[in-house]
Amino acid sequence: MKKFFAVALGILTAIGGFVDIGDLVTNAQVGARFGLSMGWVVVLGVLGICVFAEMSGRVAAVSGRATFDIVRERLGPRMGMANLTASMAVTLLTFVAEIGGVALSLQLVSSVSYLLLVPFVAFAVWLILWRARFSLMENVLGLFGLALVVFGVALWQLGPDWSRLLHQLAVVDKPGDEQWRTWAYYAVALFGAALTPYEVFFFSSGGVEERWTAKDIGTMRANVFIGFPLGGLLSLAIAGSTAVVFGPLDASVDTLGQVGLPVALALGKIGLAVAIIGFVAATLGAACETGLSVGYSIAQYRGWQWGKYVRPDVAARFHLVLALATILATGVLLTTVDPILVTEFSVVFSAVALPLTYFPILVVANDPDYMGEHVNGRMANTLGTVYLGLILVAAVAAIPLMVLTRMGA
Amino acid sequence: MTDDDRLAAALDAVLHLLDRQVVDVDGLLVCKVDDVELTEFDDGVLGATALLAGPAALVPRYGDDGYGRILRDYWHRLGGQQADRDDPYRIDLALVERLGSGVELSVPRDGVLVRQGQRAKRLNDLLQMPVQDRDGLPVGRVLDVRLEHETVEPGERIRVTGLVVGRGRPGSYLGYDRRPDMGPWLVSRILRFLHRHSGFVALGDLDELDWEAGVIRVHEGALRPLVAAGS
Amino acid sequence: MRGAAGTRAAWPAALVLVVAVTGGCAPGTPDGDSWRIDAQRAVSDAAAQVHTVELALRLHGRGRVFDRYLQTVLLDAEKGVGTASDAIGAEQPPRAERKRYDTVTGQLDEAAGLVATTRIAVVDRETDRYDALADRLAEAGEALLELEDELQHPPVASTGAG
Repeated sequence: MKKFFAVALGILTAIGGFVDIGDLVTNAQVGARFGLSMGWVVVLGVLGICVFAEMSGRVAAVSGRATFDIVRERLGPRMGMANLTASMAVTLLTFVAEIGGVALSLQLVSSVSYLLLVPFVAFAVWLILWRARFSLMENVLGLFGLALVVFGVALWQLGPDWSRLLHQLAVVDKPGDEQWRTWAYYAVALFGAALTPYEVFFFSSGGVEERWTAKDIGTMRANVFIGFPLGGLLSLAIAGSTAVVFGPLDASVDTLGQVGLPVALALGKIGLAVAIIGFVAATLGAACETGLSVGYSIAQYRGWQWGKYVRPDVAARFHLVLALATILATGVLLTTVDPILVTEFSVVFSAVALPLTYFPILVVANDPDYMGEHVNGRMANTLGTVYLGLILVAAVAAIPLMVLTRMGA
Repeated sequence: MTDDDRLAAALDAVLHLLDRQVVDVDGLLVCKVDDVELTEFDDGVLGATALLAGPAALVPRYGDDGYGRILRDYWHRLGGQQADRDDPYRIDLALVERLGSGVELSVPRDGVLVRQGQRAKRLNDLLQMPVQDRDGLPVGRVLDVRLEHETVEPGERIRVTGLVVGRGRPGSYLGYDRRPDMGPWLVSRILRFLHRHSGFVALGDLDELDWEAGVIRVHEGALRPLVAAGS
Repeated sequence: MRGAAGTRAAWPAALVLVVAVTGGCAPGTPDGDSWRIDAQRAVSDAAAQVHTVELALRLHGRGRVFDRYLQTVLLDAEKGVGTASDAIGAEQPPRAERKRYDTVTGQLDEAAGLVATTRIAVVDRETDRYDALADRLAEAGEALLELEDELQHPPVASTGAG
């Protein structure tokens, strides 16, 4: 029974923790503009993250080594450094976006300018990263993130034309008034939002934090294969609700305030309050994850002690990196750059940085010296190779598309 | 985790030892294996004797040209007044308990990193060294160094048994050139094609290992097909 | 990989070249068309903000949105309309588009003013004015959408009918 609750908790946490500011913003924008015609990209992205999270989790469970250990081992210090620089830049950008997201969400309930909230949010994030137990942080924020289910309820309540929505989802097509290159740009952005590089760093390092062994592979797989797709459904619900409300208005969605309006329409003030709780939990959780990922990457490249599973004084350099990253993120946000704009950049650059992270994992998950009997089966390898191809295409296409479409305008 | 200790058998230094995480007896993380110290013993045998760590060991690994040289110049400029700027930290191989996916030490990590003190030969000096045949034509570069555990009175040592030589294309650290059965299929085929010229040269088949000039000479037919270490 | 290091230095250069070339290949629009497209985008953005404010006001009227949320939506919308208006206002219009430039900037300024008035009412909690403001916003939004449609076509010659 206890095992059942543990597995259930893991799954619920995975669902609630799936959505971050990138998913929120990108899905809302795409829903308003393209309806659910990009839903298949979300499905594709979710399947991809499942495949690679499972691989990286399995590697962490069997070998006790996290992703960046492996990147340096397999690519050498030189390529590893290039990889570190690129991945860290993207993760830092995402960190900035997430902290901004928390501040924006809190602004919705306090009408204090989000700029004034940024230092407090950053301080709270740092405090959690320094002090809170890893599993407590994950579970609390993940469970509160389940509040985003309210979008599914709202979509149901709005009573849309389901056959039309499902038709959009099933057919790969674009609305008549949009161009293919804009469609392609948003497809890459959605893909990058679902397949964020930091997720893999975090998932494997989290596995080491929680001391997974080969016995935990089953639970890990349940979290990934049940939790992540259900989390993906939340993304689709967000897209669906903005499609229903903003689509007919032919209005683009650029602010978090707009994202919540469909829930207000369907469920009133209570629904709206729940949605905001969901925003705060999702972005705060993701802020902690990206912050930790910055620390994990550097520490794992250099060989320093990292992690929250040891006392902070034992992992002094790791915590110093976390503090510096938080201060840097605060500084960037206080330049009054729009966090939503930062988010849009972060998902595109995520798409570019993906191959660097996923390729070493695919290789190591196949290495019998590392994995013993737990090497990739044929299914994992086939999917892994196919996705590696997709990721390479997205990575190459991302920046030209961004330039060509002027960021999807 | 596979249960055998790699250091008790045969291993490839770059593939299995270099850039690995060093863990102390309590499970705490110490450093990475940034380089390996090589010593020439009295009986002419070349052996691995210590792990090297720290920026002084890592910076030379970035290469001799382009970014590597810029980084190295910058490293020296930042600490020109330090006499031990190029002196890496050293962990004797005798302190290593086991080599699995990481290097496990038999001691706690407090104070385990000690300066090397004197410049000795390193694995990095051998890596990427050009290999030529008797006519001076290039055969390839040193990509990896094969090590083997050996029991010798009064104790034991890790000796260099040969070199993996090849063209040095990307992906040489991935191990596909040595394990044909490693998946995924497409990646394996591509990488094995890129490394089809790689081979193994036993240390005894070397004509000359010129450390100063940085070149190795072998005779015809010294390049043997490449198989996994220990097979 | 010493031989590859030279090519490795060339990779960033090649990448920059590719990006520059593809960036330069952004649809080769003549000046007139690029202004028209930018104007369309600005009008569309403003219309979206105006409709959002209208929706939020009406939802508040039905008790579905709380005050602080409405306030934040208003502040964001005001900023959005202002940005759109400034962006297109600062762009130099080609001669053929002078007339439409005046129409566009005029309507955007009106929309910005209306949103500002709404924001003032919202911050001061003058709830009795909300319905009337929502109606005015609806009209402004419709007008902006019509203008956006009109901007689909290239400018008519000055002697021709509108």
